[in-house]
Amino acid sequence: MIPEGSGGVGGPATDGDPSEDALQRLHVLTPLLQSWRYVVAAVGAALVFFRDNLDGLWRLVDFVESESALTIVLEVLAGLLVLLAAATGWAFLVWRMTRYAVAERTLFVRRGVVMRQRRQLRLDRIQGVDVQEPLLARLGGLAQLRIEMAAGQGATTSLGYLRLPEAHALRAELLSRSGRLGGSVEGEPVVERTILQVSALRVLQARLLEIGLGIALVVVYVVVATGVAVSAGLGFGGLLGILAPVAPVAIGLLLTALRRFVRDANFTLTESGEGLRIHSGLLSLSHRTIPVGRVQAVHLHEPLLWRPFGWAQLTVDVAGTSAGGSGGTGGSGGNDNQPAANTLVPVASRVEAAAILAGVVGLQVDAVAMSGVPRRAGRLDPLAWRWLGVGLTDEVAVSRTGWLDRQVAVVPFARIQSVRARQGPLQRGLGLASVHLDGAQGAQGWSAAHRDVDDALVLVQVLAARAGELRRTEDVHR
Amino acid sequence: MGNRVGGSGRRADTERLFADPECSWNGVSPALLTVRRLAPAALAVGALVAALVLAVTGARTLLVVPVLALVAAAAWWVWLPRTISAWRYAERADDLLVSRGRIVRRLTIVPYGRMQVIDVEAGPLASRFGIASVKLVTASASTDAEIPGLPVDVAHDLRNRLAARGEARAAGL
Repeated sequence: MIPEGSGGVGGPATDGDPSEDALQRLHVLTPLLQSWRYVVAAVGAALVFFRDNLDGLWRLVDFVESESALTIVLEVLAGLLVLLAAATGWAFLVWRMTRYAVAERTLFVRRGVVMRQRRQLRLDRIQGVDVQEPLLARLGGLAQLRIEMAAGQGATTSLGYLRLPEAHALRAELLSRSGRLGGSVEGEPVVERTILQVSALRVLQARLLEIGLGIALVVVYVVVATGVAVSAGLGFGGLLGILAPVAPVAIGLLLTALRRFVRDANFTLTESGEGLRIHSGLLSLSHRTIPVGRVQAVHLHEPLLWRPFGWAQLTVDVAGTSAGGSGGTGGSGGNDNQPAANTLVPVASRVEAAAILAGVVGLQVDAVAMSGVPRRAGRLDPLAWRWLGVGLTDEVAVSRTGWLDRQVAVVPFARIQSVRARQGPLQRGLGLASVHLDGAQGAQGWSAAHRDVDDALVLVQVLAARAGELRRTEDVHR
Repeated sequence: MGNRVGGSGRRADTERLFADPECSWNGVSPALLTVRRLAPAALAVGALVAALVLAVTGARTLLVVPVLALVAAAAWWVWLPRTISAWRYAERADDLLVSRGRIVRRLTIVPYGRMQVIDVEAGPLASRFGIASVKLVTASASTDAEIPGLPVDVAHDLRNRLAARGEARAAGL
């Protein structure tokens, strides 16, 4: 047990410990919703165990073989019920011990059955609060909060489950007390203005086109392999052997597209006093807020197969959100179920995307004068060199990169962490060099590739100087 | 028509990009060369021992491997001074420049206000030779500004100067 009153960080920025009455519980149905997870986890663990331990499985089979099918089913069901009961019991204990309270400047969260945990979140450090409705919870009208803090891993606190209106109210309260995000006045309903709605069909088309190239490669492989197998007189088994390796690739691609579709379907982007809000999800719903003032970089993507349709995607880098790589393509499965913190627009016409981009960074990106690269850069990058380019305004740096994933990246000078120049031996032979910017989210995908060296020299000096200047003036109103 | 611009002018431009002559550049300690050369030396010794063993046991055909390793160690030994002399840094009014690399040349500019942490590190070998490395950490994981092999007192002075300037220009994200 932690002694009373030990949690305070001290200083004027924290509140005292909350009184017992102030501490609130989560919704009563929480244990039921959580217990399913425990059961699923247990069954999953059992499957993994038996996969790695076939002996155990055979012994189990030997054991049950003596009985009839019905008894086996009954036994399995009974086992699951016992498991569920135990899990519910545990989840109930967890629920009993979890309480929270919102004070003027702090959110207190107490949890833990064996190890007691007391978490205090300084509201002025909150980066964002998302409301999520996982499928089961959604059916029961419940939701959970995800609170992102300005720190690396483990900085996300989730609080669930609450009734949906309560969750939205708590979100609004936390945001308004955090002060940073320009939250609404307490008690006043937030007026949301819809900026963009994307139909589920469009999202599905876009996601399928995204994997189109991969699928095309798979198809080509299958056709060629079949031809070779037939002409070489390989039997059906041989053909299967040749085709088997691509099956997981194809399935993986389709699953990725499907997951993203489920995540981004019913997409609505709205604007309110708090910033941009994103509502999306097919089965589970999520409601996110993008604090426009904390955007580190914005990227407009036009994947190869989208270009004939004139579609584009917008992603943003926001400090503190635990997103994957900046392209939004990274992440190893598990993260894909969470809404990608950095998708601003899953798919829209290029004009719409550019207009929304303009709303975020305050400039029409197509109106920025871009300077291209010399023709000799084409020897190093024959596909993209005509597109490569860079443009500077008074406040942001714009770069154009990529061919497969053609991209426009916009980085405010004030967000630049460091500036890098790089020249490989081939570039040296041609008198070229590349310039990159580093942001708080890592390499921001902003790069001015294959510039003429004296051009790169000017660029590096200007970027470093502009970053310094703006930073100092910005501090005045922080 | 990739028209090749006059070679010498281009070389001068590259030189200005990665090692602007208007800045006062500082190199790293020669002791770093000694420390770094321990690795190829160890490789050479290992290769020699292996070659001896192989020669004695009579597995002559396998001798190719230690001979190749010896050649690699020699190339490494010869190349090291060039990489190490390419490491340099310059303090300007508002930012720190770190330049490095021979084959791939790199320049990193870190504005003082963006420095979050300044690490001075010295491993057991480095500290035996009286050198330490200064590493600048910003909020970005991809910032790669490290100056290896400074004499310990120089490293500490640099750290203190950078910290003072960083404090004067500190900024949030």
